Amino acid sequence: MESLFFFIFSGLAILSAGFVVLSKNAIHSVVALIFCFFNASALFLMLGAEFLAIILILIYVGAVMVLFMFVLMMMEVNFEKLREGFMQYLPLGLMISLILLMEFAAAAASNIFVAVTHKTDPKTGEFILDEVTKNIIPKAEPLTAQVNNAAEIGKVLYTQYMFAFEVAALILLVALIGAVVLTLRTRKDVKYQSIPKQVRASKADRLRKASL
Amino acid sequence: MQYTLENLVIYPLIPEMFIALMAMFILLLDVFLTDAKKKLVPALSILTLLTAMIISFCAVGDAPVSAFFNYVIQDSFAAFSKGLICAAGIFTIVMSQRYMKGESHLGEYYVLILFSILGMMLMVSANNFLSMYLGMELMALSVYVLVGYQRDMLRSSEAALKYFVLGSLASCMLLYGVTFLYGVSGSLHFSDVAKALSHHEAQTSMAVLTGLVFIMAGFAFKVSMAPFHMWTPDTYEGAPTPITAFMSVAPKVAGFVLFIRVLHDALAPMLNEYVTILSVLAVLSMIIGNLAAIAQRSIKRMLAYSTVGHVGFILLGVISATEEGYTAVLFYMLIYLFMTMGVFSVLLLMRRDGLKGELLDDFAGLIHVHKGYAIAMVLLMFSMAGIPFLGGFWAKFYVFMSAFNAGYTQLALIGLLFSAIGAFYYIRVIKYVLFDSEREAFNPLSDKPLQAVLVLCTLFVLVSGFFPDPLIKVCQAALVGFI
Amino acid sequence: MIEIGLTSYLLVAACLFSIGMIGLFLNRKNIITVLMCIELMLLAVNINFVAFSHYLNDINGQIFVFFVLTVAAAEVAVGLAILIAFYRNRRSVSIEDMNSLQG
Repeated sequence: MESLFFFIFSGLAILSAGFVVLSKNAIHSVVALIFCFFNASALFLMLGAEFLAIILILIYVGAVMVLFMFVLMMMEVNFEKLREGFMQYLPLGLMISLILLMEFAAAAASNIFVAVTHKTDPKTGEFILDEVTKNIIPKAEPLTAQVNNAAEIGKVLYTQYMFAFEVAALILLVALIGAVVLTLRTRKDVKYQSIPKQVRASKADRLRKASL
Repeated sequence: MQYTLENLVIYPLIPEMFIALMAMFILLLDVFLTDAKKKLVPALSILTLLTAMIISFCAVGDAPVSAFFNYVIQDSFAAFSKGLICAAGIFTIVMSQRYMKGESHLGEYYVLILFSILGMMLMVSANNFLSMYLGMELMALSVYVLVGYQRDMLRSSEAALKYFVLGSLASCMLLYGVTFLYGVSGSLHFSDVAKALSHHEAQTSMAVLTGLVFIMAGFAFKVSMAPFHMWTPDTYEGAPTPITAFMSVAPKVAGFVLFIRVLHDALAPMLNEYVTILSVLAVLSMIIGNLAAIAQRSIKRMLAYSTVGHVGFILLGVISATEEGYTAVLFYMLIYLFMTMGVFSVLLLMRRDGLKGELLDDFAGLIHVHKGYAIAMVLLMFSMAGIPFLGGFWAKFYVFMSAFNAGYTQLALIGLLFSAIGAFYYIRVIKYVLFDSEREAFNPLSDKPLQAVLVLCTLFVLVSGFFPDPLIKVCQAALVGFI
Repeated sequence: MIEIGLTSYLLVAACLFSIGMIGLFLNRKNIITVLMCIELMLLAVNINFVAFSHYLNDINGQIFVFFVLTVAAAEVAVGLAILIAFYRNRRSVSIEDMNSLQG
């Protein structure tokens, strides 16, 4: 059952990723990317990362992809024209990516991951290889109702990861400043209500005594 | 370790926290200042950086101190590089005064400089792949915006766009590499990764090699090593000139220090593998940097390629992986900071009304226009070319010596060869300055702060040429506690 | 039925990363699609982290993904802002039109 779901979700994720790359219309690409994120989020659920699965939908689909869509709609771009000469780079791209994929596959298939880490020598603290598990990658443990993924993340996020949390806040602040600075402009030909000006207005600015 | 408040050490990061608080304060202050008082913002930013610099020098002892549950580390190595980064920031702010006049939202410009410096300071203190990533991104995001700050100029936004696309691709690759190291070691701390990699089984596995290659590629993008330097010339040319000066020094310092830390703390068991990769990158950088610079007409593009060449030379010190090598790297970056800032301040001083002195031809006959600038330019160019006895000579000398002593004789010889080839295009600039006749009348600026920067940088290059020993001592002392 | 393990998830991530890479080469003309390809590559990174985190029984990988998501959101905001600034100056999002800077 589990493997069936895995194949469905991962297959759909890869197919929609392919569609993102090949689609002629950038709007379709965005929709395909959203679909890809939904499938990835299902994979996250299968890996027991419920919190991240939800976050992926909320942040990515809810915010990032909508932003993409928004920007796409804002610009008048002729996408058909943009696709000319599309296939010209296909051989090069395909070649490099295939080489990479082969390398990744070899990397993914190396059994080093679980083998090295799971046991440490109690005396020296060095990692030792477990001869028995060396070539076995353990099966995913079934999720139990007791483990609350969000609570686990919350426990470390505000203690151990306090530093990272603060820096992430600063990064968001920088992104906010950056986006405003680069795009905010006041149009000269439209009348605006300027609140700072209104607040700063004093009697001297507005009131003129006329001698009668 | 218990993650309680008692175990939370925060004092080593006081300079960073100070910068963060001041940046936010300046951001708010800027809104309330009237136009006449806007000058307060750069002054306050400079003061912030100076204070942070002094605190980080005072706070450091001999032994490294880790803070925030071992996510960051403060040692003299980090403190030294923080000094360099803050100095670069101060120079940049001084240089921006006149150049950025007339841009809108200037307050945020200085705030973003402060935030990018904060990111770099966190990078050099990182002790964990997560803190490394976050520091890098804080720096990168601020610098993307700074590059595109002249938003009504096509070349500025184009430069920002190119830098952004390649920069985020680089972070992606870096992260993909980090995932594999995490998979092998089960931890993101540099020391744990080194422990896991010390196992023979791990060293030969495809996963670790892939991780290593991708991390190298990510760093190569960030410090613009060839062949990952494509963004450098375009971004340097399009960015506002003070930001170009900033980018060619500060992120390079932060990137190299972090790179050395990752190599030394996390990837040390993979020494043979990473030296092979880095040697290729170093040779390519030296070739491309020094040869492509010859063909450039724009001085900013020429300096971009010259940066790539210098990165190649600095890499020789990293490859040596000895105390001598790292000392040479620090010394090189110290000299490079002053040389680059000096050259860019000449560039800014040459600005004509409307037209900016950015083509090589614009330097023609500088000697007839302003003797002081011409002499400074000649000295700085000689130093960049590595002519004895100026600062740049000793920087190259120590790097080559370290590579030679560590047994990389061929690399040192290739470096020597390309440093000689590189001297050609620097000396060509000198020829323009001294022997050509003036082509177009231009009025050099006399801007007191900029002139001060120029005089300071030129003097430093001169003095360090005659007395390199005390500076070498400082750089050696900076490595105490790291090696 | 084939057993689903760590390797399977890593392979999915590897496929997504490679597809993103192909996309970078194919879409030499449209910068928005290039940004989407980078998002795909980041997704691959995230899948890798979550898979390792699950099989190592270690929460740190998931926390890293949390921060990667945060930073990626910030990055997209800045990136699209830069893109809009470029579009206002050039009236195009084509990479071929990014040619004002050449040596």
